[in-house]
This record gives sequence, structure tokens and C-alpha cells, in this order.
Amino acid sequence: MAINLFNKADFTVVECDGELSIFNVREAFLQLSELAEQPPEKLILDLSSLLEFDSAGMQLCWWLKSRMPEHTEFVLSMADNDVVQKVFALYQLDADFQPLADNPQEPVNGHA
Amino acid sequence: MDMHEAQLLFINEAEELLDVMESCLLEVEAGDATIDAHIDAIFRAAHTIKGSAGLFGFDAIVAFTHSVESVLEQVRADKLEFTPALAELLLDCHRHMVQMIQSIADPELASDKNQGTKLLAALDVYLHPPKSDEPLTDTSQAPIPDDSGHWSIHIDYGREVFRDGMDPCSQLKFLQTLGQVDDVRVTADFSDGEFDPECCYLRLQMALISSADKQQIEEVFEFIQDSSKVTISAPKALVNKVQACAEDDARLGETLVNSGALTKRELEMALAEQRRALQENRQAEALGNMLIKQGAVDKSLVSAALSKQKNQEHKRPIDLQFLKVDARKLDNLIGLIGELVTAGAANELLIGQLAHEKLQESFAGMTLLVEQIRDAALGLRMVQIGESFGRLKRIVRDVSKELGKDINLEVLGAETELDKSMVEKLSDPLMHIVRNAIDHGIEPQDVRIYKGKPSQGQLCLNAYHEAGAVVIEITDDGAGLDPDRIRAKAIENGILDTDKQLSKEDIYKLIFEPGFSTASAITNLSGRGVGMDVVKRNIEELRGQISIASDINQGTRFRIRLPLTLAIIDGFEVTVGDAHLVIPVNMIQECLAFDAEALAVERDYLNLRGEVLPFVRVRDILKIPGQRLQREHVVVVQFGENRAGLVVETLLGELQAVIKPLNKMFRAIRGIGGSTVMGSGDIGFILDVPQLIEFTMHKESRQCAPASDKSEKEKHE
Repeated sequence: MAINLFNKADFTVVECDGELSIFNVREAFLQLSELAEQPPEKLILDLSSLLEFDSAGMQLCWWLKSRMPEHTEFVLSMADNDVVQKVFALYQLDADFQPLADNPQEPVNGHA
Repeated sequence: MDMHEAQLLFINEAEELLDVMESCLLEVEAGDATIDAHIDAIFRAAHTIKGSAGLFGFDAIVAFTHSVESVLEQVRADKLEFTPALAELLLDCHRHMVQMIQSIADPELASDKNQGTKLLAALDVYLHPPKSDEPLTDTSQAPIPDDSGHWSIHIDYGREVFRDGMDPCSQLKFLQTLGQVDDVRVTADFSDGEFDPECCYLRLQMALISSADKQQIEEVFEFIQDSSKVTISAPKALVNKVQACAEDDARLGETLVNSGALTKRELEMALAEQRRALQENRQAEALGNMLIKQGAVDKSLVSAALSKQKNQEHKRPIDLQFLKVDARKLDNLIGLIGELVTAGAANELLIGQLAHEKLQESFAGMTLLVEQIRDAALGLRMVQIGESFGRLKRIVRDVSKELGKDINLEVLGAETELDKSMVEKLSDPLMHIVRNAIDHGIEPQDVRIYKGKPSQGQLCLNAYHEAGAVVIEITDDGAGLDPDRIRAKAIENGILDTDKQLSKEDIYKLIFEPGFSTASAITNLSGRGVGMDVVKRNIEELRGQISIASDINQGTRFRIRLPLTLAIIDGFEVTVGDAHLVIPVNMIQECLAFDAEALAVERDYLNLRGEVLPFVRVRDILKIPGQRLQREHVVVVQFGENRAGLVVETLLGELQAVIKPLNKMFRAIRGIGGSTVMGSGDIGFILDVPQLIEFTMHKESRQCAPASDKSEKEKHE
């Protein structure tokens, strides 16, 4: 697992590679805690390269979003990653962690 | 069978059918069951009575019942709505039919013909409604059938779920194999302290459209049951399945499990809770209520199962429910078994003297069988007390309506069994107490509201077994008994002397004195001071006791305690002097050696492992002549919450005692409930322990009372 933090234009990008699951959420959490402490203005959480993703991983992403202040522009990107999309589809959540039933137009794959 | 016997059979059958009709109508009227559940039973009762009455040429009954049946037929065919007004009319018709049937057996009880004509006219309005465009059945008010076919699932995940290797995603995937998962709502509560990424903060809610039963759905969550809270609510549409699944003898739990609305685990949990309540001497709640409280099933499903169950009871042909046996034959059988028990005791004595081991063993086997036959024969006479309670429902309904009071009657323990003859003799005392509670106990609605009480009064009938006895409690939440007012009235009526001091409990007992009444107004229901003395006498005739507990503005509780049977008991034989005495075994806790010298003071109590145990010297209290033996024993007895010791001389062991009532001449003797013939041919006296203790307490309180009081009491005796 690797979490890469870098800036691209005026966005802070969090790129998750390989696995984000119960087996490595603690490690990932430690890295993301800094961002939670000092939230950027614009944040992209990129899950498109993940190979393993489960509910614990999804919960960590949700927590990170919940820690972002109102003015932070938070974008979750899963592109066409099948593994991540399946988890969000099971929970019937969109990329903003809102129920799909409330916003049926929103695609599951979020901000691709 | 001659005509007279055939008529008696018709009367019995008609009365039973009218009971069914009444209980069904009352349940529907009270909203405890739907008319659909009971209309067949009500219709069948009227139809059968009409048919049988026709055979005997009781034309008036045929004509009246025909009209009732016609109206019921319209309801059955959904052509007529079953309104509260129609329920009221049918209950009045029921009462009229009862009178008509009773007048066959006793022509002096002729039914009121005017009333019959009025009722027929009222029925006719339903049968031939005035021509109008408006149909009688208001379809716009008809309930819309609820066909929502989805299961509703709520999961509050435990924190440890992720660490335990469980992933809610797997459960969602599995549910998809059972049906269509819809409207998933997931929430995460991160507000609870510091976030731990390995803890699960999720809550899930979803709808599942599936033909799977609850057991199958619950299995999906099998591994998180201990750590999470999973609530699975059955679809409303399952009500039909529940009704279809209810078999003739199925119990509530079985019906719900079979229909797939309840899992075996949930049923076990509720039953375990019931057992725990009973072990801890708490009032166990009804299974249906418990399942609703646990969130296992919806109220509508429990009602559907119960209503189906009751419906099935009525549907069962009457000859399969009961076998009618002439009561004399049953009494004869029990009498013979009594003789068998007595003869057996004589044989046991002889065999004991022979000291033949094989014969003794063989005889012990036979004794065991005789005991079982005895219990089974006595069981034949046992009936559920609900039969009596059922009649009270109608009284509560009618009387509260007459007085304009709103009263809710709660019946608990209707399945408690009691000797048939006792149930019959209990009817009148119970009726008196209930009428008094409604008339004088429970206040009118405006007074209740003024006192800050709910406008609806509560009346509860509760029956249960307690240490070899049956206890019946009648509790109301009314005005309570005012000890000062009772005392004043007793003085006014010359029942009590002005300077006599009584405890609160003793003041309450004054209401059982003949001619006593504090009711300021005499109504046609109660308040005439006739009744409560009869109530007490009836209960004492059944070897029972009645006690009262009351708090002003909180309510009153009458507690009636009755022996289980009137015929044969397991006894323990003791002697005092030449007298053979029998103590009911179910009241005995233990036997101890009695050491009179170890008593510190000359008072009648001893130290039983740190507890004060009052005792009664049976020789003194029953005035048995002779000298006390050097070695005596204490038999520790318990009844209700009271415990006491009986000092006797010899302990002889257990026996079966066939109770023979005492001759009228000896009934005044306090503490003796009956006599029995012992194996040796001697006569034994059966101790009435509660009466003996009560008598001793009175004697003791007289001894402790001031001298002036004592002389007054002696004067009264």
C-alpha cells in the first residue's frame, strides 16, 4: 500500500495505490491525520489505482471527508475502478457519500 | 334418552354456544380481534341454536334467532358493515337469547317479550334499510390493504466488527442472492470520541424484497449477532401468511416461526426471558408483548396469529374440544379413588409389619400408580378460571356503560386451573367485588381528571398458582378505601366500639361485616351493604382467605387465596397427644427438633438461623388434653409470604389424605379444615394452616391488648 501526497495545480492530491482495507487502514489513517489537522483548500482523493478496497477503507475515506471544513473542495475520484465502484454500489452511495436514492442522476463512479 | 334429558342437552349446548358468541362479540367490540376472524363462530352459534331449537319446537327462539342469523349472514357476506352500534345490538340480542334459553329450564324466568319485539325491529332496520342512494357499507372508509412486501432491516454495527474479520459488504452481497436490496441508507457516526480506523462506525438500513423467511435472512448476520444489533422487521403482507400458517393446535411462537415472521433464536430469547421472570417470582409478560418489545415482530403479526388461533378454537367442532361426562359419574370415580387411597394406606401398614422386601417394593410401585391415577382423576375436575373471568368481561362492559365510566379490564392468568366446583362458587363473590370496584372504587371520569389520574380507570383480574394454592387478585386504580370513613361507619352501625383501636388491615376487614356499607348512595348495583359478608362466607366455605390492601387515591386490591383441590391432598402426619393431625405437604418447608429450654423468654418465637420464627403450640391452641412430651418438633410452614412453626410431638411421615368435610357441628373449630381416615383406621384432622395462624395471631393480639380492650373483646365473644 502506498499513499502518495502531492500538490497538483492548486489541489492537494491523495493517491492511494494497491490496497485500502482493514489490514492497512491504521497506517493510512496516520498519514491522513495530518491532512485532517490542516485541511487544504482543495483536495482530491484518488482511489482509481486501488486493487483491494473494503468497508473499513470506505469508512476511512468518509471520515476524511467529514473532517474537511465546509469551504474545502473535496473530490473523490474512483474513475472506472471496478473494485471501488462495487463497494460504493453495494452501499448505494455516490462519491459525496450521499444515498443514490436521493440523487439518482449522480453516477456511482463519482468525479471521474 | 328421554325428552327431558334431550332438552337439558340442548340447553347446555345453547349456553356454551352463547358463551362463544358473547366472548367473540366482546373481543371484536374491544378491538382485540377483527370481525373477519370471529364472524364464522358467531354465525355458527346462532345457526346451531336456531336449528336445535326447531327440533324441540321452540318457535319463539327459532324466530328471534333467525333474524339475528340473517343480520350476521349480511356481515359475513361483506354486505353489511360491522359497526359499534351493530355490536351493541347483537350483544343485547345475545342477552335476550340467554333469557329465552333459561326460561326453558325455569319458566318463571320468562323473557321480556317487549324487549324481544324492540330488538327484532332494530334488527329489521339492518335487514331492510330505508331506500337511499347511500349504501350501508361506506367503502370510502374501508381500510386499504397494505401490500408492502419488503423486509425492513436495520443494523447497528458493533465497534469490533472490522477487527473480527467481518465486512458489511459481504452481508449486502449475500442479501442480493436472497432478493432485491433497495433503498440502502448507510450512516457513519464519527462524533463518538477519537476516531479509530479499525473500529466500525456504520449503521445500515435497507429494504429487502424477498420470498425468504426471517430465519434465512437472519443467517446472513449470524456472525455479527453477538457484536451488533440487527433488527429484521417482517413485511406487513406477511399477516396473510401468518393466518394461513396457524394450525389448529399451534401456539403463538410456533405459528410465527412457521410463517417465517420469527426466528427460532428470537423465540428462544423471549421464552428464556419468560422463564427468568418466573424463576425470579416476577410477573412474566405475555409472549406476544415480549416479542413486540424485543422488536422481533410487529404488533399486527402477533394480532393476526392470536386472532387466527382463537378463530381456530371456535372452528373446532365442539365434540372434539370436550367430552361431556355426567358430573355424578366423575364424583363417584373420585370417591372410589379416595377409598382406594385409604385402603392402600391400610395395606401399607400391614405390609410394613410383614417386613417382606419384595412385597414392599411391589406395593411401592402400585402406590406410585395410585398417586398418578389420583392426580389424573382430580385433574378431570380442573377447569380454567378464564371461564369465570369471561363472564366478568360482560359485567364490566355493561356496568361501566351504565355508570358512564370508561374502564379498561385487564385479565391475566386466565389459563390458571381450579377445581370446577370452586370456579362455580367463585362466580358470585368475584362479581360482587368487581361491581363494587366499578361502582365505588373507580371514580367518575371528571373526578379522575381532577385528581390528575388518566380518565380511563383500570381494573385487573389476575390469577396464579402460589405454593399449592390459587391466588386471585382484583385490583383497581380507584379512590381506595378510607380507613377513617370505614371506622366511623362501623361505629355508627354499632359494629365497632368507639374506643377500640384497630390496625388498618383490621379496619378493612370490617367491610365484610353483615350490613356494612359506606356508600353514600344506594345504586341498583351495590351500596346496600349486602354482599361483602356473603363474599367472605363463600370464600371461607371453599377453605380460602380474602385480604385487602388499599391506598387512598391509588386503588384497592382484593386477594383471594384458595386451595387447589377440595378432594385429596398430599399430607404429612404428626401427632399431638392422641390426636392424629395432617399438614398439607406443599406448605411444609422443614422439620426441626424443638428445644423449649433454649428459648430465652417465655414468648412464642424462636431463632431460625438468624430469622425470627413465630410458632404455635398446637396442643395449646387446639386444647388437646394431656402432658407435653419431653421431646417435641417444630414443623416450619409457609403460606403466601407468612412463615410460622407448628409445635407437634411425633412426626409420622407422608400420606395421601382423602379430605372428608367436617360435620356442621364442628365447623366452628378454628384451624381444622377437614378430617381423613388413616390407614390404621384412626381419624386424622387436616390442619387449615392459614386459619390456624390467623386464629393464633388474633389470640396473641388479644393477650397483648390493654385490659379495657380485652374485656370488651371477651364481651363480644
